Amino acid sequence: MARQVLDTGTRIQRLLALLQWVAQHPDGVLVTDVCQRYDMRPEEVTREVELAIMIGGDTLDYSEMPVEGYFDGPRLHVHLNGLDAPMRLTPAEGLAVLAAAGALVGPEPDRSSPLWRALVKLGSVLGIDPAEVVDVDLEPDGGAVGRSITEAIEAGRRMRLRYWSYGRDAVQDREVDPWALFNAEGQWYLTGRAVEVDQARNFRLDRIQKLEVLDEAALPTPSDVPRSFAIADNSSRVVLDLPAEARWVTEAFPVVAAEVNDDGRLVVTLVATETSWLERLLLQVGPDAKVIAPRPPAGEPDVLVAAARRVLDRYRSESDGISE
Amino acid sequence: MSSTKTARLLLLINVLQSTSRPLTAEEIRQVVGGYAEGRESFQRAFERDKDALRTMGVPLDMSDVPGLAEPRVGYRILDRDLALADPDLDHDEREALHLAAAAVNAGEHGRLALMKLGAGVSGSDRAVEIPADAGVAMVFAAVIERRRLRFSYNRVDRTVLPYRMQFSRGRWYLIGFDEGRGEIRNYRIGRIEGSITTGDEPAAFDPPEEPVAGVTMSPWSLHEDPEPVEAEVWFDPAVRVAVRADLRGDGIVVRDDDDGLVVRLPVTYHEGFRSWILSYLDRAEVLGPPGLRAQMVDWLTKVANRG
Repeated sequence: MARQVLDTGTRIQRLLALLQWVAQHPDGVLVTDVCQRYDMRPEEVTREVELAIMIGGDTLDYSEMPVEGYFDGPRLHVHLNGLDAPMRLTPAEGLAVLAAAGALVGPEPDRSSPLWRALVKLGSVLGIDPAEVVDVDLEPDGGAVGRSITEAIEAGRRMRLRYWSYGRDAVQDREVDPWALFNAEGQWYLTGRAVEVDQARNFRLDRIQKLEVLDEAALPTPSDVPRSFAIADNSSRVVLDLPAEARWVTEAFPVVAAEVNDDGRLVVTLVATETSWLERLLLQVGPDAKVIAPRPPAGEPDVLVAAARRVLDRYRSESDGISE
Repeated sequence: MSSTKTARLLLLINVLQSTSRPLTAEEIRQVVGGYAEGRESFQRAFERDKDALRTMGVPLDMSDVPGLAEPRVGYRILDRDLALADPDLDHDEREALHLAAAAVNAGEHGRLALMKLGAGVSGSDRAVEIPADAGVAMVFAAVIERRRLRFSYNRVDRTVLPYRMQFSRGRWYLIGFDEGRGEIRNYRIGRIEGSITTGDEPAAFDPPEEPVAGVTMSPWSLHEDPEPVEAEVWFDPAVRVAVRADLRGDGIVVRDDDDGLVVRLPVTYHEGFRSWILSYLDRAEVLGPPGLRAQMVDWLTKVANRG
């Protein structure tokens, strides 16, 4: 994991937690344990502790300096004359830990589990019933499909997927060398190498209809696996003229540019990778949507009209008496 | 990040915590040291430090310094404000929180919370994340302290009693009583326009007597309608898995075989239902009731005849 540059506030809170924890151990603590517990390197621990024992050195008498500490071989010893009150959780911190715990206990928690007990204790400190106040709807490992994929990734095996491509509206069997799972907007995706085309592709887990781990080994995973969507610069652009009520489009689709006209209508530029995807958007907005670019060849219906006719055919082919 | 600033803030915390009476800004300047010369630059630096402490969850108590001829405001940190009431977690409970935070990547805030709770932290490379920005944290603070919230949403100014929060499909929602509308409403927190104001009064309302329903993510039931219609829909077998994922257990499966998946489900929001069905293009068909089917045909016909 890449280490972030800590801001001062984070650094202070981490240092206080570390000092208070070590101070609870009269015989000191192994530096390697400190490193593991706070996800730090040994030289970071040394630097932070040296900073702490100097606090007040310029202005206070020695007896008033809040932090005493020293390294004794592999061990760190700390004694606190001040800075010993545990810090309270900020709302953001309280929420982060409640949400994480809430995601894992699920809708029907085992009330004897340590996680549930921790959640109840935290709730009572914050003065709330966590189950009534925060509800987290998230499958932390991608469910059964996610777990199978994780196993295949760890074993370095190729997989065969029966996959419904939403963009092209087609079902295909695909062989994939799986690289990683990622979650975006609450949906799980597999990123990997599509063997037939030898290119990186994303697959949404809830569109995988069948999954088979093959005996064949996957090619090695590249070192820089992308774990999010990037809009490719060379994808084709579509410009749409939409009614004001279609504002949701700007949030639900990868919009490159959006302008509001004087009459309230929206002119939206989108990256369109596949036709089916554009058809859905347009049908959902309805008769008031217009495609500005690209224009269809002369004499041919635009994407919206063609899609509506195709879907209508399904209704008309039924002999249930529905007429135009 | 600067070691000088870190050391100064730590000393400031220590001095304000151990003092027996509030200290004036001038006293703080002398004891803490390290501030720039000049009255104005000192005041700017001191303001920044106060903000930094507040962000860390260290509130400053401000009160008049006693015994002065001319009243002056003084600062200190009270233990009762600073200390987290100890949740008294057992070892296995701390460990469980640690694992939970690693499994969902609770972010920097989650890591700090674990440290403060005495649990270890470790790097998490899990891609799933529960993001929480300043607005979300503010709403949460109002939920736990039961303070009124004021914000603009869909271009309407609202006053809301915040009851609960929900994280679904990667987004945070607030569920609360909209005082202007006189009913319980849902708000996507990321869609709140401009700033959020929190009421001054804590415990400003009683928790709801009945449990409050969560936000539904199902487009066909996004709005309450007094009379739900039971729709029957056919889906191509190709999209069976995706449809079942959308349904999330809602609806009744009538049939699921090589000819397709047929489900019945209660529709309370016709526009959402139509949008959802159209997302399957010609791999979905509304079979009934006739009224709902006719609405769909009507919509498609209008679109088809436009060209």
